[in-house]
Amino acid sequence: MSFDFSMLVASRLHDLKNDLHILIDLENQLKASDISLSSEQKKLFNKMLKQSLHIRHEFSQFLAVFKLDKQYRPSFQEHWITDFFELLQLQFTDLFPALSFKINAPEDLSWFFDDQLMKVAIHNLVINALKAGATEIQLNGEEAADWLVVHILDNGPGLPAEKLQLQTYESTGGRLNHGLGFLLVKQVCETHENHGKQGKIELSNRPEPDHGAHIRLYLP
Amino acid sequence: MASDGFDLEETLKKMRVLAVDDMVEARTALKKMMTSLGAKQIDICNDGEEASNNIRTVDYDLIISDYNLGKGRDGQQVLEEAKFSGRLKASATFVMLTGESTPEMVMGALEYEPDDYITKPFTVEIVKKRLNRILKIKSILLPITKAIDKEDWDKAISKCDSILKENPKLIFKILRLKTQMLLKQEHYENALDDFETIISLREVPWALLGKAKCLAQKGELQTAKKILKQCIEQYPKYVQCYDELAVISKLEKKLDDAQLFLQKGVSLSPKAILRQSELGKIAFENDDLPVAEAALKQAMKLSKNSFHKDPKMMLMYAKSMQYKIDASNSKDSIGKSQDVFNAMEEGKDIYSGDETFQIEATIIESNTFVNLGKNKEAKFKSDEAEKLLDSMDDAPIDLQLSMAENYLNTGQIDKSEKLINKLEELGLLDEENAYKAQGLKQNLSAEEARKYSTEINDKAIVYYEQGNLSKAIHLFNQAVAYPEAGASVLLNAIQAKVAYMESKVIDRNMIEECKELFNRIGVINESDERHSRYKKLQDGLKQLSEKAS
Repeated sequence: MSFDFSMLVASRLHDLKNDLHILIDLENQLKASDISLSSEQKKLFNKMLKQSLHIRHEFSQFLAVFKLDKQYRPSFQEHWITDFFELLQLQFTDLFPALSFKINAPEDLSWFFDDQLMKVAIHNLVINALKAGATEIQLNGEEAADWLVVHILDNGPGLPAEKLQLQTYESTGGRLNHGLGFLLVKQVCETHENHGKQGKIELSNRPEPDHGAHIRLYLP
Repeated sequence: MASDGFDLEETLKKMRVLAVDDMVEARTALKKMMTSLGAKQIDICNDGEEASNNIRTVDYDLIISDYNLGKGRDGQQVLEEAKFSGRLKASATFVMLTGESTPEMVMGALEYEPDDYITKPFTVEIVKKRLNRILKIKSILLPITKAIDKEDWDKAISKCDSILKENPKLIFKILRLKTQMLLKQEHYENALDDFETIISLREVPWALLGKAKCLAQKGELQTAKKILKQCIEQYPKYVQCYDELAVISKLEKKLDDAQLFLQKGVSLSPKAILRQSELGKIAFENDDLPVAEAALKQAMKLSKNSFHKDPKMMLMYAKSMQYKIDASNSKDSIGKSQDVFNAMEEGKDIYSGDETFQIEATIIESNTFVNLGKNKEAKFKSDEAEKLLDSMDDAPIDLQLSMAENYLNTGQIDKSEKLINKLEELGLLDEENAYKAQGLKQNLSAEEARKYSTEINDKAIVYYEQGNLSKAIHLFNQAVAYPEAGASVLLNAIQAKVAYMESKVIDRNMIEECKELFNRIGVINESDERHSRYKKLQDGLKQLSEKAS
């Protein structure tokens, strides 16, 4: 009998993610209860919670990669862009209270996409930007010539010239810094197809006098 | 988008709301949340059964239910029952709460879909945002859904067109509603146009399925099948595609294929009662009784706490078990017959007002006794059914044919013949029933002949016992002239002939006749009580033919 090892790994990962979910839930409950902690303890506790959230995020990302490769069947459903953006905004401002996270999209703009995959993709780009030193994120959505275009702009140092070339990541198998992230986002975009058109990603830096990266995700 | 004056608080204030969650904290939180958003009349339920009961008696405007409701019915089943039974109006809103443990569901690939999904965990801001969105859309669609609730299809369809003009962004929602109505009204050409419009924008699963349905109706079965198969490739869990493939196979008179598609559908979604019962019916027609029995059993189990009660399904289930029932007294046979009797008893209780059911169930009981070899009980039940049938006005033809068949099974040949002739004379039989009647008649004449040959046989035995062998042989010859003559009659004829030749004179023709009779009997096994006589006669004949040569 053949044994699908990848199935086992995927299901175990999923279980672990669920366990983590429970742990975070417990931590949140503890946080909400009125046990008295010193400010030092509170700091430690918040750090712990943040680390848990970070691990969960990494897990989600890993699972998404795994799913793209194997069993995951993307489900393209109609979503309202502002609703989707607001959800991301809530999650990020929750995680990073100091972050300025702005969103902008027409209220009646809807599009067909896999929201789970897109969430992972945008998460990825935002975390990358924060790691690079950004403190402001702007998420814009618009419809342009039968495409949904999602713009992710930040106020970080911007991407170095060699990183603006996506081919760089492919030729090195994504081993460059942040490379795996961009490759994942690219894959998420390309998974979206409509009547022969395939999604894509464009990397650029914002023109002077602004600074920071400007990433566009195109979904057909 | 139009309807900009939408006010969530004002809208919720007027709504009768039902919140369903099996977790007490979640339930309380949900109610609190809804109250804070402006709702005034909120009912809460702990599980699917309670929710369904509430929905049966109260007209809700908004239902918010968790998908997972612990044991018993889940949120999707609550939704399906509410929609199927017409208790959830088109203008009402159903929001499903889903979490990590919710099985993968493909939106756009379910027959009954909630208006929106909200993923757990959520905050009050998220719920507010989502409700605002969906209730605003519902308010735009209200002229359509109100017409649907009044079953004024023409108006609903024309409203779809006018509202779509003002709200082109809602094309997927509006055309989905519109095409559902067009299909219901069998306006396949118009529906096809709309499906094509949607598909030109995006190949959403429901539009592909709809297109295939329209093409199938137009007789383009091959194209329809191709689309369905493509759709399944893309959305392997889209069970309705299998249902439609089964429908097409039925149109092509390929019942085996239809059964296979339904089996595939059932394996994907075993909880759907209607699919299980359809599989049961087709497998029953295909004479695949084990599959029929399993599917109908499952359908019965599922319909226990459900609105999908189907008396026909119950009867078919009882019939599908008959192949396992015989006079052997085996454990399986006794167990199955008990299942039949239990099901019929239960059914008689549930459908106490349904005359047809009562009679059909009694007939099945009688037939079960026949299979068990309990003729007295069989006749008793048959008489009971007959009495009920006599007192019924305008008994359905199917039912009368069942009675005729039961008469035959219980050896009441004259009654059976009379009933069939009456139905034929009245010209009440459609093609299918006429075919059934024909089959019954063939069985009848066979049974009659067998009975007649048995009668002659009985007379012949008297002569044989009196020692009047030539008279006995003469009568036995008459009896075996019927192809339906049983093995015992054939053996008697041989015995008379052998005795005649042993006591009188050996006749080569008679020896040949005996050999032919043995051929007709075939083999009688050692376990058969007639075996020793059979063996003795064979030896006797052998000696006679040796002497003759």
